[in-house]
Amino acid sequence: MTGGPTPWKRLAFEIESRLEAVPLLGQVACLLCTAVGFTTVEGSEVEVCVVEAVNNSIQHAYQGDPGRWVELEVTLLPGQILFDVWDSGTPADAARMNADHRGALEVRSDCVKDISESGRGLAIIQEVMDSFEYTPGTERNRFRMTKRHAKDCKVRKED
Amino acid sequence: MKLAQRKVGSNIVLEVLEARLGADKVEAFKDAVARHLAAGPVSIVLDLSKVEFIDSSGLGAILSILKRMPKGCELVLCATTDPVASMFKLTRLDRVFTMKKTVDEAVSALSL
Repeated sequence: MTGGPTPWKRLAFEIESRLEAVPLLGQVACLLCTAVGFTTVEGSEVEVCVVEAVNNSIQHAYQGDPGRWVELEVTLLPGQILFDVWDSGTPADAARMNADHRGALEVRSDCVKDISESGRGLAIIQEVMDSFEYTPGTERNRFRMTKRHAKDCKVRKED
Repeated sequence: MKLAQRKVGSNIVLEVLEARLGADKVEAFKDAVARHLAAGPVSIVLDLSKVEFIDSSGLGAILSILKRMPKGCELVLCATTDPVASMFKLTRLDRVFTMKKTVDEAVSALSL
């Protein structure tokens, strides 16, 4: 018997490491969210998070190489959903991945030229999800995102 | 990348005819908009009413266009769907762009 809550339902989906295949996984995540009671906007936000995580696997772990596989494993638990994105590419720096990324969302509209065009993916995930954790492995790397159901969801801090 | 163009005075309205603006589409999107800017300085209204999904790559692409607008020209976004508006707000980029509810409002904002 391992610790933690018993999974209610677990679903797994796999795509080839091609960016054009990523929307399928995002749409699956969105569909599952709305099916268990999230609003459509919340579902869309989770879809973005899943897409960001899968894009990271393809663009960084696999460095854009097609012919590899990315798996999305969705676990429905009482009160929460887990999204695990698995790849078998080059592991990223776990400390960097698990750091606080919210600074990437700070912008000053008076100096547009200085605003970065990239680097917001993990910050979006941190903002939308209740938690996330990257775990590199010898065979597979896992990026886990957790989203709690509506009544348990964190309230996003208003600006 | 499908864009519909409409000229309004000396400005252009570009309607993005794709439902998704993600990592697989951003280069084609930037190239398509750049072609409209290559003919000469022009302000652009970007109609996002058909875009139902945008990720950080898509946001970065629109930011890239804003940063490359010719001097004296503007980029105004309009008609964002709820999921897209949510992403602009979440990333605080709604503070960077001029965003209007309708194409008409966006065109009016340009002519001020």
